[in-house]
Amino acid sequence: MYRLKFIYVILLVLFLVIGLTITPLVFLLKVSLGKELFNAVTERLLIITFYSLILSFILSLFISRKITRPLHILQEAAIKVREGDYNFEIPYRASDEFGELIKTFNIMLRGLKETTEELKKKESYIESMTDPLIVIDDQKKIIDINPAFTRLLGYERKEILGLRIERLLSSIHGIEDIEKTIEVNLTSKTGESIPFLISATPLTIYGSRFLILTLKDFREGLALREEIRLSRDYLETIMNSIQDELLVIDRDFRVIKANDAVKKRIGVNPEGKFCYSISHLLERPCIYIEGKDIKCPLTMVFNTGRPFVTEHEHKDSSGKSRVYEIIAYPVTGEDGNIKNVIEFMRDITEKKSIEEELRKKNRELGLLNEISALLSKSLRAEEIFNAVIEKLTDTFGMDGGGIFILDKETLVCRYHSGISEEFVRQAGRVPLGIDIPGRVAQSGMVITTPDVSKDKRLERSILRHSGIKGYCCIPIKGKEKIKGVFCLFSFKPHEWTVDDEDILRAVGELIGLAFENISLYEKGQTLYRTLKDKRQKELEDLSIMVDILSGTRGLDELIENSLLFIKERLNTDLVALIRPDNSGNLLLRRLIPSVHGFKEPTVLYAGNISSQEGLSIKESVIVQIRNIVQEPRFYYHEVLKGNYTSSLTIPLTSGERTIGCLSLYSKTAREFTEEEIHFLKIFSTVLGLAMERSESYEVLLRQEALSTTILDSIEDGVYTVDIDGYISSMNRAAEEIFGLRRERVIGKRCKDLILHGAEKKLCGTDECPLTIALKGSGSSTEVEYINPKGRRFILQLSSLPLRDPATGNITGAVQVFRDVTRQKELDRLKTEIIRSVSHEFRTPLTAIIGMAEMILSGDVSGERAKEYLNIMYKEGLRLSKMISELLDISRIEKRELFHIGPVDFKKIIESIKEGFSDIIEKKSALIAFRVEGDISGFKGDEVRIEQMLRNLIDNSLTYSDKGVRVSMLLRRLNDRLEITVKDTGWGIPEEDLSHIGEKFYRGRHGERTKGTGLGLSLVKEIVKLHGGVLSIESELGKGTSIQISLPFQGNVA
Amino acid sequence: MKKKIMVIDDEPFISMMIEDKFKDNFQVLSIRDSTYALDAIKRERPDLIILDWMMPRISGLDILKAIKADPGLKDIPVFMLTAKGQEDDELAGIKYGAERYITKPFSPKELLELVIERIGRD
Repeated sequence: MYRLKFIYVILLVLFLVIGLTITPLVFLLKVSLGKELFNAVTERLLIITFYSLILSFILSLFISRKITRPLHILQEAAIKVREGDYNFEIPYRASDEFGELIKTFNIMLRGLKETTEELKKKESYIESMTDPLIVIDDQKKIIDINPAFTRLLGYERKEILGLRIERLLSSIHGIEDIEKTIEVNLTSKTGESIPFLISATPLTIYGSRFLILTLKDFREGLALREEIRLSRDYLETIMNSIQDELLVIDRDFRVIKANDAVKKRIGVNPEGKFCYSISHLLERPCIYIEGKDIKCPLTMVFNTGRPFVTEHEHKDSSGKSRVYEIIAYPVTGEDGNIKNVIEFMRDITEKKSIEEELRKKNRELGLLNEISALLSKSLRAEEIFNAVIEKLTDTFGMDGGGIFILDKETLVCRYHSGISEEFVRQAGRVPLGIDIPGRVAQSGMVITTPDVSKDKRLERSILRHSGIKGYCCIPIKGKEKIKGVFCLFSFKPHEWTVDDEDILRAVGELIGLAFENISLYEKGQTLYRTLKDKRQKELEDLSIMVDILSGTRGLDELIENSLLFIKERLNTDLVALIRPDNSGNLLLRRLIPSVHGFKEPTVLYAGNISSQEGLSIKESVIVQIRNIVQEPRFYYHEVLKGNYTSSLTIPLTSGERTIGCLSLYSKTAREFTEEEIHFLKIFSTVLGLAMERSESYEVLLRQEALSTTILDSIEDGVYTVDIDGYISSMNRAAEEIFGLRRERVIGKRCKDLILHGAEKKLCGTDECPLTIALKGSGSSTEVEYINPKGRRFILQLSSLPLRDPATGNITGAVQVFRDVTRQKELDRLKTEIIRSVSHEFRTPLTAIIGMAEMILSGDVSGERAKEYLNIMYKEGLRLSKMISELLDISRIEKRELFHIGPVDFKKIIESIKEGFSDIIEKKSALIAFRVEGDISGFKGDEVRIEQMLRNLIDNSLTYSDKGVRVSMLLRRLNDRLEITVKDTGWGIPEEDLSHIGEKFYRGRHGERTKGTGLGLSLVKEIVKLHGGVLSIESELGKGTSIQISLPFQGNVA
Repeated sequence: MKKKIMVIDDEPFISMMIEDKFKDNFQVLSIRDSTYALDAIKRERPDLIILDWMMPRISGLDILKAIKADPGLKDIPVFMLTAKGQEDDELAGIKYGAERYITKPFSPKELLELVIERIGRD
């Protein structure tokens, strides 16, 4: 822009300079120069001017273009804006004044565009409104409306603007109140009056106040309102058409609605008044009135929320009570709480009084009915007569009453109420004919009096000063005669009507009837009860008896319990059980309680003495003696005679036999009743049987115990089976062999259990000895058997049939089996020994016999023969050694020739070295002895210890190759002597290790060596003898190490 | 040419006896250590073998089995000397092919007669 200015200034100056200089110059030149020259100069000047003018023109053209173009653009834009197009931007960019101007123009254009769009949006909102809108100014002239207005009321915008609002509205009252929505009618263009709800919103624009009136079409609302009004009218009509009184009452007990019935009754409209003031003539709600037990139906409904039906007493306006039947319903408000209560009230005062009348009429009949119901309700006099008194007292409004029962010639007051026991004692017994009850009972007439104290007829009555006034006394009539009387009394005077008397007389007859029934019933009842008790007692006795007989284990216990029971049951002083022995003496078996001087069992009476017990047993009769002292027939033991008076003896029978008797002694004179004797008869029979049974059972038990003991003491296993092969018994030895408890076995089949481990399967075959026995013959066999615990047995089985002694039929079989395992083992060992010994003996014998033969037959002679003899001698010695070794073992086993003393190991070692020197040399063996610590104090059998060590060395040398190394270490370890013998020999195969030391056992190496098979077993025996232990470690092909640990101080086993 | 008898026995006096008894009629070879027995038999090829059952290292039965298992040797008659109970040994011996069982103690004279009876003198 500065540039433009600058150009302007330059141009201007240039023009000025040119103009200003050329003009004077022309004149000056004209003056100073000549015409020609002047003309020439002028010509030159004009040319310059001409060119400078052209130049200026070109320059001005350029400049004017620079100015006019942006102006033109702006003009075009302005036209566009005028036509309402804001949606463009001038793309002109320049840094001069026009550029700035156009930039500003663009910004303004953008603002205008946004504002216009916003306005358009708002306008569309307004246009889319369905509710009409009017804007009025403070002159209440309409200045704007929305299209909805036109749509609804038909007025065009232009024709309505400027009109005053009153022209359209039915009323403008309160229109300016912005808080309220008012209801008005608007006249439409067609003249229709349309109801609207109008609300106003104030608006202030540039200091001018406007009101925006929002209109809401209220035609539907009105219709609804009309409907409600109609239904309300309808309801009211209904309400009013109801004859019952109807009230709607709110929580404050205010009547908000009452129907015509109410209005008619009380003469005024109670709406707005308090219900308690109308119904009860009260000033405060009845619930606040103390001492009034009015169940207010309103309160009930408000409290419970449920309808409530009641009879209720109201007062009418004159204060008279009326009874209403009231049904109260809750009316729940929108919030779910009870807002109101509707009360239907029906005046039932008349109905009530009629009912009362009816009740009264019915009372007579009712009373009689009730009394007869009471009387027939039960047969228990106490219960029903007390109930009757109560009923009558209630009915006649009396203070009490009583029933007198005629007992022979006296009336006794049995049932009463309202009087003290003291008074009953005074006046409760009245002789027939005396006083009022006596007279009534005698005459059968009813006596009633309104006031005893004033009744001249009753001057002599005991009741006269009792305070009793109203009184009646009525006879109780049975079928034939008077049973008693009943009285009612009051402490107030009471008027009795004829009707009353009639009722009471009828009641008297009813009671009489009931009384007779009851007497009859009670008699029967007593009889029944006696019988029942008796039966009950018998049942109890029987059950005790059963308990005694079934619950007792032994005979003694049975007798003891039985006697105790009899003693208690029959309440007697002494009970004795007496039984005859084989020679006819009477034995006192048991006595309850024990009596000093009697020991049980003892001979009570000898067989030849006459006693009641003797007679009872002999004749099987019951003997009862009232007084034993005066009894001439029988003799009594002095203890009995001295202490007891009466006695009863009852025989004890078992079937046909009399096995003894029971004697009961009583200190006082006593006769047993028939019932007691009956009981004793039953009891003695049962006891007799039970004793018999118990005795035979005990005998059986004893026999069984005996046989079990015998069987168990037998070393052979025994078991028996029944005919079907089920095991019925088994002895202890069998248990051990089979490894089974007899409880587990008895009752099971033998084939399932017993010999299942037998190698030879016998079960089910004809070879089974039991099967053979069950067929009737005996047999035996031998089986190898492994029991469930894995022990191996060789059993010799033999079976025999079991026969019923009476019939001879086979009932089962017995199997006896002898454990011959050890015997067999011994046999085997014996054979083994013999074989082994014979083998070892044969070699030296070969030398002796063969060589002798050759010498004798002359095959050899001279030096050769001598050599032979020498060999024969040595072999003879070897034979002898073997024999002594065998003997040693047997001796050690038997602990023979055993001498404990100090052991000289030095000597032993020397002896061994010497003894084995030949072999050592022959086998090129290396043998080393070593002693650690002081072993000189060791005690043992020197000979055996030497034998032991010798044998160990011998073994090492025997079971090894040439060049074997043998070491023997002797050392003391605390209180023990440890001996270790190690060699580099063949070693012992694993399978032989467990057999090491077994007599005559010769392992794998036995095949290729000469030995007795006794060496290690001798060692073992010696170790055992000294209370020591031996262990062997060996590896085949490497060598053997034998370790022996002996107690140092000869702890001899 | 005398026939060759081989005696295999660890007991020196047995061989001694047999040697003395048989030397007039037979050539007797004695083997004491059973370890070398089989080699000796193969080398010498005896006409008859007298074999002791019970020997250390290799037993008579082992040697018998080996002889009978060798086709070149199996026809050589073997007399077993045994000190064991007869029954068992005979059974085992017969099974493995021994011809006779001579139970110790035996008579050298009888043994000689049995050998002569079996193979003759020459």
